[in-house]
Amino acid sequence: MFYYWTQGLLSVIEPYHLFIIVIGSSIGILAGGIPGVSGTMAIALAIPVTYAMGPTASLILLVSLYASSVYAGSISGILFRTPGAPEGAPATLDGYEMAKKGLAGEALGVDIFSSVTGGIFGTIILSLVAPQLAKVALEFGPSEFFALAFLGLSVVSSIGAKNESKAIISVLIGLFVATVGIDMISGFNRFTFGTTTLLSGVSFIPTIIGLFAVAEVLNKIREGKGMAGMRSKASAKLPSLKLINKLKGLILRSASIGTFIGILPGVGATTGAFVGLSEAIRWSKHPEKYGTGIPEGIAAPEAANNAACSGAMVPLLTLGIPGSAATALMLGAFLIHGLRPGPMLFIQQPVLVYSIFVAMFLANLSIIILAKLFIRYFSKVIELPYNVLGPGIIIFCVAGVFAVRNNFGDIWIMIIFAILGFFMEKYNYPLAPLILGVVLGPIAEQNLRQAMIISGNNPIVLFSTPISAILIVLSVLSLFSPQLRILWGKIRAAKGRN
Amino acid sequence: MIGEILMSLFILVVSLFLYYEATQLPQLSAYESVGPDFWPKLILLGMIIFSTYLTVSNLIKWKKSRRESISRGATITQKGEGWQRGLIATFLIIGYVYFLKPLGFIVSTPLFIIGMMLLIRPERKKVIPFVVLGIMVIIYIIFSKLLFVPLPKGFGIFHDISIILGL
Repeated sequence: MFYYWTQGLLSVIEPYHLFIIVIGSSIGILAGGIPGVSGTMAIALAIPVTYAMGPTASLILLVSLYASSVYAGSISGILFRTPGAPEGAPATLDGYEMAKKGLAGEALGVDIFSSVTGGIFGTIILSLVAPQLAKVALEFGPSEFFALAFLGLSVVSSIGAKNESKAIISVLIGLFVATVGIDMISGFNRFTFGTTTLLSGVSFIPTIIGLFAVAEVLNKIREGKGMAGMRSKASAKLPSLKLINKLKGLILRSASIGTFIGILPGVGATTGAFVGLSEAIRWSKHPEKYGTGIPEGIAAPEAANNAACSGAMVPLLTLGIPGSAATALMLGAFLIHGLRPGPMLFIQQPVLVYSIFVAMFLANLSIIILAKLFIRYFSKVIELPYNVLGPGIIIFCVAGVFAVRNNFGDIWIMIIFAILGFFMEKYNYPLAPLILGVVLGPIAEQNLRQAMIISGNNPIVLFSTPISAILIVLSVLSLFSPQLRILWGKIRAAKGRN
Repeated sequence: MIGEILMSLFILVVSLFLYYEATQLPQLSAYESVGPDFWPKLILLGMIIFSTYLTVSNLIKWKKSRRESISRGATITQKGEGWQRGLIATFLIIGYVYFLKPLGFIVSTPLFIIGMMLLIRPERKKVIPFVVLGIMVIIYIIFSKLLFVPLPKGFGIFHDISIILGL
């Protein structure tokens, strides 16, 4: 193995390949940072370009692009509350609140550090235990996937600590939105009301752009504050040693979770980010602080999503099964160059495989330098007065949403969610649970129904394996954690009196 | 408080309507109890229960606060102009998206930007032409030239204008 590591390193540090990493990372940051333009889109656009390149250079370009785009989704989320990509949405919740307090630089710095650490952690795990991890993931059946999704959803009680009913309504709205479209199991249309736009479901990008970006513009116009522009300089400030020490446990835990989530086929960086955040809230002594502007709210999802990005390469490289939409496109790139990912790849092309590991490692490191350059110019935008910035953001959102499928229906979906988000914010319905519902809903429903159908409608199937049983018990405890905490407090107070 | 009640009531009404729609979904014997209607019904039932609870509790709180404010002789406050601005902005965005398809990006976008800028800071009129030009150029370069995304051209004469202007 050491020999292949060395060969991979020698291959990647050639000037041409290093140049490819810089180009790929730069394009990835740009693509991930611009709302409506995602890393997946950038990979799709880059694949034709790789026809003229060798297989090693092609894959180095694509993995660099992928790793950096997953990080960059949160930059515009932190600065403008407009996540550049779905995986950047969780970090937006605390990141934007920190920016509002004048701590945009600190937020961006935590973002960079967590992403790089998560990405490097995920890459190390990827390279050391890829075959073993893939075997565990193969054991996951419908019950386990449902239990995992339920665990991610159960954190809603902690997010909505101020008003649990509103948080539950919010997550239920998200779960419902995820049911729109063709039912994957029976093939029937659900709640499409005769429109073709909704046949493939409510698209995720218009949903988050409407909820977070356009709704925010409408709310800001309603409030009428800060119309002259923000004067704080938002250059990324890497976190101090003290803060790193405080966040290290959280980042490593989130990176572990993200790596494992990324390994599961069909579950990518977006789910990794949300589950990473939900676990951070669950483990926190002060879960009510999440969403108010704390570094932990950025560190957890960003470490998880970049780790998930590396984890998603595991099923691709070891089994030939893509772990996410982006890796599905990369599978295409492998095939274009006459390569077949899978166990044989490690035997037939070991230097290529280890070159990919080294390239991911260097691409994550390059984020530190390239991100700071990108942010310096990108943040000039926030100094603009709001009569310029507001319309600019709306136009960008409309063009970005239109760019996804060239479909006007998506723009209308964005408007509907913008109006929904506008009123939800006004009446203190949290938005995070809604997005959680949209992301985890399809996983929860599909796997629950599959488990029930396979078992002949016996709900005990959900507890039939140790993994699913443990996850479900943890989920129920988590769902009732606010009530349990109050009960525990009363018991302790009673004991204290006695 | 009235807004809170209306919001929860709106969610309740929509949930009831969607639950009715869910009952129209086919229930196939092949899937027994877990057909395409199973999951939506479960979710909508939850929404009905929680929105009913919120509506009732908000009504109780409102009645209580009304009794207290009447006994204190408090006056009812008016809604600020912020709501008006928010609603106008919403209608501007809806209008922009509605006219985007027939008029095209090149024609509808400047009109939208002008409307929004006059709404947000009406005292700053001189910068409007520069801002319109700046935003149009940036969007054109990023989406049309770098990403090859075809922006809406409109119909008829607006389509021709878009072609002439290079969209």
